[in-house]
Amino acid sequence: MRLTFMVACVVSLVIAFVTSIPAVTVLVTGMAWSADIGSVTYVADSFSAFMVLVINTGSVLAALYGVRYLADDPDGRSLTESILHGTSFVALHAAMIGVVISSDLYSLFYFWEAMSISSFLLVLFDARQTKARTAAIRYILQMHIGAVGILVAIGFVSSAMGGVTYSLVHDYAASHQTWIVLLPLAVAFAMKAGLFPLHSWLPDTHAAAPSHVSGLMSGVMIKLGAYGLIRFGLLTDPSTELGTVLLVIGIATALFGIVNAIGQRDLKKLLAYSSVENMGLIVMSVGMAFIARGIDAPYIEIAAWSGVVLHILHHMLIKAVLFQSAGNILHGTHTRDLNNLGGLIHTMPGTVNLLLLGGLGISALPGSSGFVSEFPMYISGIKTMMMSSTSISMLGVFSVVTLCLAGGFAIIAFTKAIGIGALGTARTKAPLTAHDPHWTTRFPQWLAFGGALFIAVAPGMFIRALSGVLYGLSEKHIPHDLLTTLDTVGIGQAVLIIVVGIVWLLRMLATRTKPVAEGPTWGCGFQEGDARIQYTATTYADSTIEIMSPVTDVSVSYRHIDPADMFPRTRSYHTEEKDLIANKVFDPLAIGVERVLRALAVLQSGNMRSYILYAFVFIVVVVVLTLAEVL
Amino acid sequence: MNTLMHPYVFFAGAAIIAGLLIIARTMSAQILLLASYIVLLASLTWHEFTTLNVIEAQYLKADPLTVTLLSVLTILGAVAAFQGVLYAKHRGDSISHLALHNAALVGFLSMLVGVYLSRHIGLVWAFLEASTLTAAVLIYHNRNRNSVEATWKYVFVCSIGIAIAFAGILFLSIAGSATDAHDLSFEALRAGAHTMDPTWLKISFLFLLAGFSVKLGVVPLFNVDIDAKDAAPSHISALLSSVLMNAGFSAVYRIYSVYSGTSIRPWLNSVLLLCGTLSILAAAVYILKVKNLKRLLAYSSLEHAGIVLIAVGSGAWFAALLHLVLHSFAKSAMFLQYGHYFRLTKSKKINAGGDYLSAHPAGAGVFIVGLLALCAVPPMGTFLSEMLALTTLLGTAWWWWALIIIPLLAVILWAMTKRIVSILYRPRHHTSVNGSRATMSMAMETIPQYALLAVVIWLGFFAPPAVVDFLHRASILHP
Amino acid sequence: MIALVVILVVALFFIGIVNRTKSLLGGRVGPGLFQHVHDVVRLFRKGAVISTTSSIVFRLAPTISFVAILMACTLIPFGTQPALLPFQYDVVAFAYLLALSRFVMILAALDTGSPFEGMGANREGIYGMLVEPAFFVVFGSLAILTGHTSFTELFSTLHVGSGGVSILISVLAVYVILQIAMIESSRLPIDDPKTHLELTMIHEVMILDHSGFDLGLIMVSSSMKFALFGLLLANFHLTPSAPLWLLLIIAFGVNIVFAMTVGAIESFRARNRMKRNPQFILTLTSVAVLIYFSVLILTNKLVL
Repeated sequence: MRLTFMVACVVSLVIAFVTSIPAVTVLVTGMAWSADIGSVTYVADSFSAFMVLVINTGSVLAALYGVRYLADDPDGRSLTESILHGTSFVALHAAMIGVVISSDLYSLFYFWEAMSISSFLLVLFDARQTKARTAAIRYILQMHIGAVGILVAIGFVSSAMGGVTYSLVHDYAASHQTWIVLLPLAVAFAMKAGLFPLHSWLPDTHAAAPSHVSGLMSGVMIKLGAYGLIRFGLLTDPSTELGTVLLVIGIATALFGIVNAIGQRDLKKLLAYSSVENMGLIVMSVGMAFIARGIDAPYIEIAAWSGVVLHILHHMLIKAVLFQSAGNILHGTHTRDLNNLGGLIHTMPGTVNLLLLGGLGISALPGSSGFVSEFPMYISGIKTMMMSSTSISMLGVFSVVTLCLAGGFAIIAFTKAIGIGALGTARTKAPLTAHDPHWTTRFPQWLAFGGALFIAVAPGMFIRALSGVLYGLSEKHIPHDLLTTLDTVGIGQAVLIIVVGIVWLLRMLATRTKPVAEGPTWGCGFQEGDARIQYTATTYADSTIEIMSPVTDVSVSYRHIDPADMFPRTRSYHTEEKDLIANKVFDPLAIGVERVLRALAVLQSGNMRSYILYAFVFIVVVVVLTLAEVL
Repeated sequence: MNTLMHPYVFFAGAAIIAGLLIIARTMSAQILLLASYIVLLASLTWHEFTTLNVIEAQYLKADPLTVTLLSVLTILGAVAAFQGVLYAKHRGDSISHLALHNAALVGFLSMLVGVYLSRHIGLVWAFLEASTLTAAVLIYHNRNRNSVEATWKYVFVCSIGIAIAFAGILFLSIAGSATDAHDLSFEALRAGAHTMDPTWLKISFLFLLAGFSVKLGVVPLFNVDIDAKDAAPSHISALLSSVLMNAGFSAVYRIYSVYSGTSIRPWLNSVLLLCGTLSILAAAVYILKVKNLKRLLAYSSLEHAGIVLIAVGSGAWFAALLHLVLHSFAKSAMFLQYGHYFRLTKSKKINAGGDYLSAHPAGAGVFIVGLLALCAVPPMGTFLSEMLALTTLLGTAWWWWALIIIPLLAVILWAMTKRIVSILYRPRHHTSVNGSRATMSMAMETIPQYALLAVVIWLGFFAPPAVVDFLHRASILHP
Repeated sequence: MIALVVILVVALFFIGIVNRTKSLLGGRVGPGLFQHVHDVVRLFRKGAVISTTSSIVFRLAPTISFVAILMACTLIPFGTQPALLPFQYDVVAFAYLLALSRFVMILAALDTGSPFEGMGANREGIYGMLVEPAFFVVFGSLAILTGHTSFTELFSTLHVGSGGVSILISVLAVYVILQIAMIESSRLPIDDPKTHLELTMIHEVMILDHSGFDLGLIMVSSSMKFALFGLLLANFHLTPSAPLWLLLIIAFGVNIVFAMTVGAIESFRARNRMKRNPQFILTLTSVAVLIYFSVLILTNKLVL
């Protein structure tokens, strides 16, 4: 297994190397790259080049981690499985690059499906477990349904324009109703991006996938949904209406995602819902950029795009850190259930440190890359509030309120993930016997975190380096004071980190000579406290879930004690977190469809006479339909 | 060779080989004879390739479509013959049993060659009928309760189908009698079709379609096809799903292209769309409750035949032919691999299977790649053909049919994936199946399947322009 | 720079005034004005008892929290005197620095594995989250009103009675910020620092296990947080034309009034029921939205 994946890792590195060179060239020179391979033209403008770099970074991080992760894989796997996994990994990497350099809908559709199918095969890795198998199959079904959007767009555009290159899509959108082509495409992209209400595949799939794959999917693959929205949004001359729609969807996604993240007990599902939230923020910002373009507000537009670009980078890196930490915890403890964890900081300090740093980053707290990536979003939001039109101004209020609520919820979600999962005392034996994996497992995580830290202290530098991308997106130059603001924020972050260091040193100096006694945690006089008295993942989330009950779906199975119950028997309290949309919309829908189809199955009677009858029924039906002029 | 390999020579040769196969009583003689038959097939294909559109023996003519289907037949025939020998060896069948099987196989394939080559609608009909009889022997091969039931049902319903088709031919001749069409050859019909009464044409097409649907394996007479594929040995199921389906397609498509020169073309298209959609609906309905892996594959054939008809109906003829050809390869690979699967697990039941990935890694690989091909996703060529078919449909006035078809395809994809993944991954209960594992030789036996699947990829995306061009010519019968 | 000094000075006596007000209103003499400072100094000199359950997170948290508050102080101007580190949209940084302080303190609380601290941490997280929209809407509205987006620029043009700022908006804004300050500092009606039942505490219960230097740091941080909001409130009243000495008097005066208000509220009001807290905080948001619409009307963006 390990050897096969090493080969995959090397191939991935080679792909990354080969594609990064032209990508960097595009970013530096500002000239788009294009090549004809076969009869297909591939084009990479600055935005594509940026995405190529994001994809390469994410894939290489995942590959490096995967090599170690799979080395510790306890299951004996056959060669086919190893080859399948390695091939799919490389295929996913290549397909993602293909998606961003396609210049016609045919190749886009090809790579899009290739991306779905290869990620599906990667998710199958743990398919020996029923849950993972179910999740993988649901995943491919939803991806397949989503991809139909591209197919429909191809059908409409090609029949009307005789081709499906992006420029023809533009012409089609200009000469027809734009939404005819944009809506199906948007469904496809929104499905991949995990936008509300099409997000329901995301948490299950991420939880089921092996951790290097979850990191890659969450960090990179779902961003391609946003890529598609941006690419085709720009192609169809985005209007304020489109921007508003994206903004609203983004807001719904962000808030829904993060509220549900709080509810999760499964660490990886929590991370997955947080990815939903972050995709929501990205799409919200894209919507803001389109609105700004519509009302001709260049400053807001550039700020929004900066937010998008920085957030894509930040989330890719930080999610890699977090998912890989989750993977290490899973390997160490064989559980993802936060209620079975706790106290990991004592047994797996290396892993928990990274989880902590990642948690700070993903909660967008000062000193992290998340803060600088959300900062431009705030800028665009507050600036939009200051616009003269009341309706536009209110959109600004919505986006700012979303950002701060999402930030607040993220704090709850990640204090839960870290505080319940890694701090306190161990709730079961599993965390006690766990130990850190080999340090090389954490190497890609530190790499990713290093990158994130770099963004945190030098956001201005990144924005300058990516000015070509922003210009490509907005066709406007970056205003100077935006750069200075970002520079100041970067410096401020660095100062913050340094001051923390200084104060910590001072504190160490001050307390150096002071006696330190150790004792049990204060329990109001109760000295026999054990792990069971701690807050659990469920209780910690309870009050939030209660406030947010309209958008969450946590089922509780517990029988209250009846006053007449003289001698109450043993009670158990069990909660299960479900996805509201999956549970209340999609599942009933799927069950309904299945029921209808199954009802039709009575026709297979095994009776010969009816078989022959079908032929005549068919003929009669066609004749009737013909006479009725339906056919 | 061109002059030597007249179709007469082929049929005479096939007859001799079939006769010799029955009397040959050693394994090596059987293999030698089969090999020589394959050579014979290959040379016929080559011959027809070099003499395109030349009328031979009055009623036979090869056009690019013939040659395409002949090539597929040659390749799949060779693989199936090879697997047939393996099958007999593993089952320990007597040599006489094998001999009968091989002779029937040769007969069956030769009849299909006849279907491909015929330029006369009556002859097509006759060859198809003949193929039923030879196929019956092959389906009956296992000689158990299940196969006897499937066989007689197959023969019975095929005969009904043939009768319905014959009625169609009669209606056609009624339509033709009023005009200057001299005979029922496709050329003559095409020349006279536009002068015929559209109503009679419609009725005759309807009967022909319904009659031949049993061969093509689509609605309305698909049921016995499923049973037959379930009961027959897996390499025979592979042939039923591929070359026989191609024969049905050849018949229907030739008739379609004759009629499409007339004013009823929109009607034809919509009937084909209806037929295709109903087939996909039927496949979706049954595949949801199927518990038997082999039937799963059979229903998938129903789905793909439906897609082919939809492609024809929406005017994506190239996509139709490509899909047909690619499906032949992909489905054969799956059926052949199913044979190996059954040998290992001794059960058709999906619920009884599981953990195939550990038991037979190489075979599991075939299932995975084959699944991709049947689900029409990259990098398989079926992706291209299905995409072309559906996008063409979306561009027509009938685009809203796609809104029915696509969800049904998704249902099928879900059901198939779920079942095959379960066979591959689900841990097995120790009690249900013995934990036998594949040997090295079993791994080697998967090579033909991989080769077939490689063709599916190659033909879809890496085929040289000459091949693509030839397929294009084959798909347009009447420019 | 002046702002930082003012904050530090105010922090010295703020809690003292609050406690003094409360004791006077309660008919007691109460501790001295600088009792708080004495406590902190004493704590700084003491050793510590730490829980065996806790880890580096527990020890590091007070430091980070303190630094976060300190950094927040550098963003606040003093009238027209710019802040130490002013930049556009520092409002965002201000809110997020407070969030950072909250984040690490929650983690520290969870690190002890104590049921009470888990409870407090949970509540702190929710109330802190709920209060943020109000803060942003208020400052967003002020940004609309003045056209400026950093504290320094905002307060250099904005004060009660300055052109175009109606009394209504000022009063509402002061009210909202006052309440935010109360919530952020874990005071009534959300939280009662003097309660003696762990089950009903929020902030105090989170720091049950801290002792020695760290507890001192936490106390300094909370005093500074009060002073921070005090200066924010004072800034509404700092007229640019006034001389520095007058401004200083105003600033200290506002802070003293603020502290006495806090004391008075805590004397006469009971703590909310926990269940009611979210509603209470959301009411604040609606007041903030009221400010927003008033501003829109004032600036003729919303014509009724």
